[in-house]
Parts: sequence; structure tokens; C-alpha cells
Amino acid sequence: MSFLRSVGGPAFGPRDRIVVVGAGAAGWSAAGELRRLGFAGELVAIGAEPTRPYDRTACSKGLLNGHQKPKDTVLDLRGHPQVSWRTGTRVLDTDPYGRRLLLDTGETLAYDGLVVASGTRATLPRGWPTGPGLHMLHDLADARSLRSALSGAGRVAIVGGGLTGCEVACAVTGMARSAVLVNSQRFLMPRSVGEPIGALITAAHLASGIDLRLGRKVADAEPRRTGWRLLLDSGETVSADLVVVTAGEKPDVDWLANTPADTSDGVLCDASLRVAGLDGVVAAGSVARWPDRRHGTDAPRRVGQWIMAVEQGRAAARTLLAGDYAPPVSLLPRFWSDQNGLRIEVCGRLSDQADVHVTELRPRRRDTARAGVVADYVEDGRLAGVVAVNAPRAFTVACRTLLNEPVPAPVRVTIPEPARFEEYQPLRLVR
Amino acid sequence: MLRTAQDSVHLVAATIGFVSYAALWGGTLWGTVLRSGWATSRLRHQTVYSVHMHVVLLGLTLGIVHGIVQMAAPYGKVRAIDVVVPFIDRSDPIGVGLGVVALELMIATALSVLVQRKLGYARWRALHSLGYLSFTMVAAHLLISGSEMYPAPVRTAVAGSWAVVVLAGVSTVAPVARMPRAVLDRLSPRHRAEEVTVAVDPGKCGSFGFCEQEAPGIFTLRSDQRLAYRSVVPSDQAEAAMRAAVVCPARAIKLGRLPATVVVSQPGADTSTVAPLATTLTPHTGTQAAVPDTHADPHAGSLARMAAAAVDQGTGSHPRPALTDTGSFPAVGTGPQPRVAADAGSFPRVGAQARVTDTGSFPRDGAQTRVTDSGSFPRVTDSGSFPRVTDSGSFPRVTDSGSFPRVGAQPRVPAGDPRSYPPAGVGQHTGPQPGLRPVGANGHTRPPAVTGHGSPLPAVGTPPGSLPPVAPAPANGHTGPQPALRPVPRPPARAPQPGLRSVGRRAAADPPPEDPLPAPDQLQDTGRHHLPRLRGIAGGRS
Repeated sequence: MSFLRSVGGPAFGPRDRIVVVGAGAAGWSAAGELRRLGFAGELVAIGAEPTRPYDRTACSKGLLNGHQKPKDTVLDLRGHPQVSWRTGTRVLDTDPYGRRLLLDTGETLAYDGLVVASGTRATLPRGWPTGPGLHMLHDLADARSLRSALSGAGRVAIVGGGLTGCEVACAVTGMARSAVLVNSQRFLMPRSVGEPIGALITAAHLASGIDLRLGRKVADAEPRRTGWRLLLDSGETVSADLVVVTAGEKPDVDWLANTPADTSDGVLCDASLRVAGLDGVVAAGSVARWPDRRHGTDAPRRVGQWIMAVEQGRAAARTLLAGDYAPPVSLLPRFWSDQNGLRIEVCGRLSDQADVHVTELRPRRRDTARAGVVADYVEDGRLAGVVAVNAPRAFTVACRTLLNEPVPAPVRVTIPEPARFEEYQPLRLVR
Repeated sequence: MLRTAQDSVHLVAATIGFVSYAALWGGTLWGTVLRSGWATSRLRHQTVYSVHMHVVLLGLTLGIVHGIVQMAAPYGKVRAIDVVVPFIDRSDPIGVGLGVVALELMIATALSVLVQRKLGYARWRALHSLGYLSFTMVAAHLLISGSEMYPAPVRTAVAGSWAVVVLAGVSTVAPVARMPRAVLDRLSPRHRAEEVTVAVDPGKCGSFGFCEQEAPGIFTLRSDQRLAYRSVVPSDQAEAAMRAAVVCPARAIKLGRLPATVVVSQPGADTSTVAPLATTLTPHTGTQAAVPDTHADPHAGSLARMAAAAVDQGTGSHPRPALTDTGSFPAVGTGPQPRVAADAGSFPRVGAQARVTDTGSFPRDGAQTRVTDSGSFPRVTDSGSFPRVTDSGSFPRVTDSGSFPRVGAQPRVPAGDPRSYPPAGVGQHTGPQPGLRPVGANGHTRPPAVTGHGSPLPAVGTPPGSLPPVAPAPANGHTGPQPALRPVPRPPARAPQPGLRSVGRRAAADPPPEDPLPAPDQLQDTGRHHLPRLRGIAGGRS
């Protein structure tokens, strides 16, 4: 097949089957885009979760505080005609030469084109005990169980002060429960919004009644009869009915371990989102590690954001159908968060080396973040990233500037040599 | 004139009742504004909402006072229980009873706002529309029991105000609200196909402004943080509207129609039965390329006619109607070159003539039908439930697969899958669906797939591991579609065939037939260069 493609023309035609592994935002948009671009063959989307594709961002936002029901988060499938959604199915192994997948149902599924959009999994820090009352927040089932557990809880400890942790803390305080947030940094959301805005948001959250334990780490977690007790490295203890750990996630790439693809951190892709070392395979979503020309460096990196996942899914679908002519994919990272009335919006890259210009929209107000503030990250005299809190209009103007600015020249990525065919181990057929 | 206490109480109660009715009328009417699209772009949602809430609460409070005041009359016939339990009043059971029911219903409707989150928006919305029912009862109560109702103008005013509220309420119901547009569409049917409607849910919109980043021509976030948007979008901005709907953090944007041209294979034509394994073992001689197989295919006609038709259409031997605008990325098949793409995954290209011949006489199964944009979404069969793929698992040759020799396309033929083979018989159409455009550019519909040429199909349900019987070559030497087993070392000599070479405009752009085919050992090189090459997609819109 690949020989044929090398000689000449075939796209994925009506006799081909494209399999999308992952039914999250990236897989959903990739499947829709494939159909939209006219792919007429068989399209199979495999999702590990037993639900229809849904809006994962609602798990820490609307679903927790009750603004949304699970039904409200279901994604629109009107643009996805004749897609076989195989939900509740995992892919165990891949045969990249025979182009087959081994599913956990025991069957093998052949593919002509493959979209890797399996996303990430939430992970618990090493050495943590598990038990009732300890929650992670990644998917719909997690959100549902946490929501039902919150109804009977009075005090909730949240470990990790990233975006998810802050949103959970805000949802908890919005439900009139007390929240204790343990973060290893001196301010909240260090990676997401950077230091200046992070410090302002930290002040706003402190003022709104969230109990912040900043600069502390959890040394020990101990399940008690009625709840949990966390021992911090400063020696203090935190008792809570529930513990929500939002401390990290890991790409779901085990099913690609048997292929020549580089799965050390996600799946290494080239600039067009083709998986390096595999033929006819593209990747999208938080599992894809690819060199973005917009990011300025050659280092491929993963981005775990909703809008990015959707746009990557579409770009990956285009790459898959376009093959050799696929242009490099360059996308602007963007995300948002709504925390206790703070509308946080971020786009572009926030590097440590950039000059940061902070503009307050109403300078005399004491609650700076709530009154509106914008931070521009400027690198070499050019705008590289914007963080805005309660300043949607200024953010929109800046973001459109970033979107319209020409993308720099493509970066080169070294693609590892694919393994020889003879070295390949065949599928571990279980039966 | 000295009024009795009875009269005074009645006067106060009636006045309060009238004012209450007026407030309820205004509040209910204002509530319909909350649902209508035009107000959301002109008025702030929060303002509209609070006006509605306060006016209705005022009317409700006055209504309660109206009921209580009735009990204050010294010789009144209204007891406390009459104000609470309906239809037990002795003098006017129906009129008073309607008022009591209306009041209680309205209180319940108002209180349901408190549990709105618990109910969920849709259920609460259904409950809240009981407000129209209770307002109707209030109007009936006024007409039946009102003591000042005798003059005809008053009756007309009350009935008219009720009718206005009901009409306004009905006009916000989605089917009715769409009606003017449906009428317009009927008058000019092409109008709809060119446009996409946009609706923003004002209750959900968080004014993040992401939509304006994607589609500044459609959405504008004003300085007062209201969102202004165009509710009807021309097709050239439809893609931007779709991107805006996707990135909206609050998921508040709904599109009336997705800007897509959806190509789906026909339900009857299963795409997985391209190549029975037996035929893969038959070496491709290439001789059949020049022989049009007119015996088996009555539709085929002469090659020259086909070629001429294809040239006329400009779409080549594998005609696909050009797709409409899909935005920034050119659609599949918009290129002028003939499309061989459809099945070459299992068919080695040995030269242009092979393509032409097979296209005419050997129809591809999985023939495509282009479903044009029709405003609705054709054949979304899987939006509600999730059909399991039934034919995905079993391979005929799974068991003997210690290693996977690359013998080309493995037929995905599950045993006993009824969908696996298209219905046999020459005359049966797998082509056009009723109401859709015919597939072939030359006007003829494609005869059914693969089968009707005398090459017997392998038995359905061949046990895995055993090869189906090798198909005997038919008299004309054609052995059906040839998956790539082994490339022919050299394509057959390309006799000058002017008629064939003129098929499609790609002839000039075709790679020369003397292109060295890759040696078989090169097949193992699965670098990333071997992805499909589709000029129609990446080469810019033509």
C-alpha cells in the first residue's frame, strides 16, 4: 500500500479505513474534519471511556458546580456522519507494518490511516495511598463521583495549584464548602499564567476565602476513618473529608510501545503532526509532541489544551489526507478559565525570558485582578503571549494580533530512524 | 356619595387586582423578550432578566395582596379558605377558583427559579412556561369575576392583552420562530443553501471573546461586554463561524447548519470487500488494460465515448462532482485531474490505460454519492446510538500470521457478514440514490460492484486460514481488481492511444509511464514519505 502511495495518487479512498484512537476533543474534531474534507471510506473512532464524545473542560468547570449536567457536555455529532464510535474500548497494541490494532475485546482492527488522539491519563504522585475519599479529576466519571462526594463533604483538600486545582477550589467554595489548596509554588498557576498574573489571582483567591497553603508539599497522606489527613513538609497537618489530587497526567501511549514511534513523552511528530517513524499515522491532542514554529524553539512539546486539541485534530486530519504535501502545522495556544468571577484568558507563549508589561484597566481599584488586568509578554520587541483577567476585549485585540502575525520559518526536527522491519516483533495476540 | 366599608374594600381590592394584572401582563410580555434573538444583541441580558423578574414579582405580590384584601370586607363572602383552596367559594366558584389556581401556579413558577440548577435548564424552562397558563387563568378570572367588566372596551382590552401575551409567547417557540425564515426559504430555495444561521445563547455566553478572534466579521465583543453578532452568515464565512462555535468556552454558539460538504459511501456498498484473496495471487498481466470489457457491462459503451464524456466533464475517469467551498483547505476532488484515488490502494497503477479501462467496465464498489448541502444533515445515522462495527475483527488470515508479509491489502472479509458483498446481479444499481445526483459524470449509473463479470466470488464464510478458491480468469482475461501483490516489473508497452491519453486533464501532468517502479525491497521502507498524495487537497484550490 505504501508503495502505491509512493508512486502516485491514492488518497484514502472509499475502500480505506481510517481509525481514530481517542474520542476526546482531538479525535472528535479529526473524525469530523475527515468527513468534511470528503473522506468517504470507513471511519472508526475508538474511545476508552464508555460515553459519547464530550467536552472535557466541563469536568472541572460546569459539571462540578452544577451549572451543567453530563447531557449538556455532549459534543455535537451532526458533522460526523457514518462514524462508528466504539466507546468503552481500549487499544492494547499496534502492528505498524501490518497496520492493525489489537483491541481489548480481543479482536484486531485493520487500518489504512491512523489518528493517534488517545490523550492523557491522570496520575497519582508516587507513593500515595488510594482509598475512598481520594479523587482525581480527569474524565466524566471522575467529575461525577467527585460531585456526588462533594454533597456530603464539609472540607476539601486540593493538592496541586494548577488550573484544574484552582477551578476545583472555586467550585468547592461556590458550593459553600471550605477548600484547602496545597501548592508547591509561592503563587497559583505558575505554568499557566506566569508569575505576575498568578500572584494577582492568588491574592484574589485568598480574599475570596480559599485556604491556601503555598510553598508546601504533601509529605504524607493518611486515610482516616472519616476522611484524610495530609502531613505537609512544613510540619502542619490538613484534615479534610475529601482529597482531590490534580498533580499530573501522563500521555496514554502504551499501545504504541511496540512501534518505532518515539513515545518517551507523548508521541513525537514532525511539524505536520505525522508521527515520526510510522507511515500513515498522525497524532493530535495532548498526546502529540510536535515542533511548533510559533513556539520559536526546535524542541517538540506537548500542549494539553482544549482549543489546541480541536485545532490539532483538524490539522491532523488534513495532514493525513494530504500526505506529502501537508504544510507544517502551527497553532496558537489558547485557553480560558472562569474562577469565582475571574475570567482568565491566555494565549501565546509565556516564557521566562520575555519582558512582561502589566496593564491595569482600573488602576485605583484594590482588587486588581477582578477589576481587569492584562499582561503582555514581549520577546525581542514582538508580542509573544497575553494573559488577561476580566479584560476580554483587550485580550481579543491582542490575540487577534497574534493570530494574524506571520508564522516564523519552519524548524527542523530530527526524526529517528525507523526500526528495521526484521526487528519488528509481531503482535502479542492473546488468544 | 358615602361609600360603605364593603364598597371601599372592594374598590381597593379591585384596584390592586387591576394593577397586579397590568404588572403581570408587562412582566410576562417582557419575559418573551428574554427568549427572542433580536433583544440579545440590543439589550443586556442581565437587564432584561432583572426587569422581567422584578415586574413579575411586583404583580405577584399585588396579586397576593388582592386575595388577602378580599377577606377584609366586613360582610364579605370570601373566607380565608376560599383564597387558598380553589373552587369552593360559594358565590363565584369558577371565577375565584381560577384566580386562586393562577396565583398558586405563578408562585410555584416563581419559586422554581430557585431550583433551576437542580432541575437543569430544559426542565426548568418547561416548568417556567406554565407562566403562560397561569396568566391565561388570571385573565379568565378577571373576565369572569371582575365587577367592572361590563363595558365592552374593558373586556376587549383584557382579552386583547391576553392575546398579545400568548402570541408573543408562541412566537418564541423554536418552530414558530423559524417559520418566517422557512417561508423565505420556500420562496427562494437557493437562499438557504448559501447561508449558515448563528444563534448565541445569551444565558450561556460568558463574553470571553474567543469567537471574535476566530470570526471578527461575525462576532463583535463590545466595550460594554455585550456580544453583537450576525445571525445569518454567508457561506464564505461559514468556516469561520464553525471555528468560533468550536472554540467558544461557554459553548453558547449554535449553528443552524454545518458548513460542510459531506461525502459518504453508499450504505449498500460495503467498502471492505475489494479484493478477494484469490485474485491477489493472480499476476497482473496488464494485457486487459487495452481491452474494454464491453461484454459484461452493457453500460460501458465505447472507450472513446467515455473518454469524451470525461473530458467534457473535466473530471476525468473517476468523476467526482466538485465540492463546494470548504474554507481554507481545498476539498478532495476539486482538482481537475482524474481521480484514481478511490481504489488504487488495492490496485497497482500500471499506466493510464489500466485506469481508464477499469473505470469504465469495472465499477468500484463503494461508489460514492455526493450528498450536497441541503440544509439538513443527511444520513447522520450514528448520532444517537453507537453502532458497533461488526466487520472489523476477523481476518481471513489471522492465524497464520507469525509475521506479516506485505501482500497488499488484506481483504477485510468477515465470515458471514451479510454486508460484505454487494448484491450480485448485473442490473442492480448501487449507484444513485433517489433524489441524489447520479454518480457518473457521463450520465450512466454504475453497475454493481466487483461481481457482475463472471469472476466468482469466494464463498462467504470461508474459514480463516484457508484461501478461497482461485477465481478462474474470465474469457476476456480480466481478473478483476488487482490488489498490490507484486509490482509489475515494467508496465506494458504503452501503445499510442490517443483516445485514452486525452482522458482528463491530468494526462499532461501524469508521471511518465517509464517511471521506475520501486523494487519490492523498497516496500519495507515505511518512512513518512509514503502518505497519500492528493494534489486536490494540498496543491491549492483550482
